[in-house]
Amino acid sequence: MKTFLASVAAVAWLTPARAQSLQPERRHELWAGGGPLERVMLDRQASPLVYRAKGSAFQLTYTRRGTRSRLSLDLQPTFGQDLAKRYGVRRYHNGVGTYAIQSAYYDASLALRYLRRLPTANPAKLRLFAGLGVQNRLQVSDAVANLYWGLNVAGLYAEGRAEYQPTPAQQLTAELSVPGLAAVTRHTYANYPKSTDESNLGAFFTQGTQWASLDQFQQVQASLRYHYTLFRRLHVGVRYRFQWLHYPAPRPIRAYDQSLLGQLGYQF
Amino acid sequence: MKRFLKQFFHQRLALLVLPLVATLGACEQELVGPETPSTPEQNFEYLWQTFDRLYGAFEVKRVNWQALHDEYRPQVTLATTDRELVAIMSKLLDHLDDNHIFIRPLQASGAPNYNGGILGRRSFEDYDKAVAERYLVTRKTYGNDMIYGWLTPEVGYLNLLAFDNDFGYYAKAMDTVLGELKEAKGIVVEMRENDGGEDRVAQYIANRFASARHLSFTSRVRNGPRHTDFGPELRFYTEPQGSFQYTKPVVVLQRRATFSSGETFVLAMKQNQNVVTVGDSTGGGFSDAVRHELPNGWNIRVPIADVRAADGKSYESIGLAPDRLVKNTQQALASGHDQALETALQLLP
Repeated sequence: MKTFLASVAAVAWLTPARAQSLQPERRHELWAGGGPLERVMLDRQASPLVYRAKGSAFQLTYTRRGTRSRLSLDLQPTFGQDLAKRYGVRRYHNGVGTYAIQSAYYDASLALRYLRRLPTANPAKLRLFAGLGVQNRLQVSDAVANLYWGLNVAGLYAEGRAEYQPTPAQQLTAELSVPGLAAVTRHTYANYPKSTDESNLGAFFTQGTQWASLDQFQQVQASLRYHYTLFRRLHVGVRYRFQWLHYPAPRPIRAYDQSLLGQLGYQF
Repeated sequence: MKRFLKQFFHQRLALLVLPLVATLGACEQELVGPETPSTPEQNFEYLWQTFDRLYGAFEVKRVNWQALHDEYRPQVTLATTDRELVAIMSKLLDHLDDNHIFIRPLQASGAPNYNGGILGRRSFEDYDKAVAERYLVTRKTYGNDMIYGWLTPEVGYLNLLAFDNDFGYYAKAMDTVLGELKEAKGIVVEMRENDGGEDRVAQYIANRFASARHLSFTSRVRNGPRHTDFGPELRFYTEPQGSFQYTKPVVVLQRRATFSSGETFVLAMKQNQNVVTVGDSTGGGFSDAVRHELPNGWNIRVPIADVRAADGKSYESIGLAPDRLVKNTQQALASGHDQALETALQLLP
């Protein structure tokens, strides 16, 4: 209790005043967070089995808040394990000994978004934004069907954002992203990008990338964030994000993931 | 503090998020689709369909895959046990006669593994590493996949155990190893333990012995549902590569256990005029192979390519005959003689 009070006093000394009746538009925000992520997929190109990845996600976001715009850069890496939901860790024997198949899961996404404010009836409480974003997300598991698996999506997205401020110290933010055009990289038909002179990673991208529009590649990203202003510059919050995608070629993949991150933000 | 906690865990937020998370679990099938059920019949069908989609040598081996389905599928019923299922699948896959094919049932099932091709049907006891290494007067290792040294003051030895490391590893590896052996009047390249890795690696190492450019082999990978659907032909060339090449006489030792990119290495080395091959025929499994799994969690391996030698012929399930046929007998090995290695020494200066 003493340690907690001492920490609060130190932060209060750094920030001169509590939140005022109307939260001012600061220029910049920096958010960091972490929490669990779960990804569930059925990639018929790779396996007839549903795979569930569970990992720890981390987030680093920079946002520039203007009176009429929002510009944000968001980085989210995730590390975990990816297992067939039906079997979990599986053991086999190879005539010499036994071995287990359990896949590590790596995930990294980078998103740059720019949104312009739309007119609303009560901008003090509700602000709406629309704009565009570019994103890239790479997911890799090292033993789906005991073989490397990867999915990379790089795209141009339509972005929407709503900020609701029920009280001066609280804000609810809802975001929605839908791709208009994306470069989707998956394994080739035979799950092996053979080449005479390229590395396997290079060949994975050069042979496995297809451009896709909304009729070929469907994806929805939605998030709901709550934050509370502790002091004028310091915020705590929680963010729930959900994503779903479907892509049909060479064989269909459907996947969704959800994450719940605790967040700490600083305005300057 | 209490007021903060009450506001932080705002009732509306909890009511929104928690049911959403719970609902997603219930809607999983709608979100990702139904998982293939695991019954003996579904598992057989999935195995057959996976090979139908991906196997690269149906045309070469003149296999009527549909007819085999019609022959074996009726033997599988809901009552088929795991052991019986492996036995039926094995009989189906035996028709492909392919060293790369395997089935690995879950250990918990108690069912035995299946290994295809000549290497799955029998064991070959025509090589003893300990006997071969007794001929070495000096022995060194490089990394986890090369043993090298001297057999005589003038003949070097290089055992290429596998081609599994990252491609970038091999330039320095071969510079080091060939650098120490470059004064040799001849080198024995040991391939009798090599069961493959990556073709690019095999070609690079062969190119360290090359003095001219020749086509070594071609490979086409399945890219569609018809048995004749292949991607572009990839052409691998034997040509001088690396900071220097060893172009004095070389003998490559091979046997049936030499297969996969071990065999494409032999294909590549045969283009070098300074190379002679000694031993037994190679295994006859040249294709790349990828792992897949069945609805019951069993792991399988499927060869996906059509590989041809420079003469345009496929040696799949046949193997590459050596220039000099020398099969080690068990009696000779037991007495400490490696006849193939001794022949190699006779052929070199």
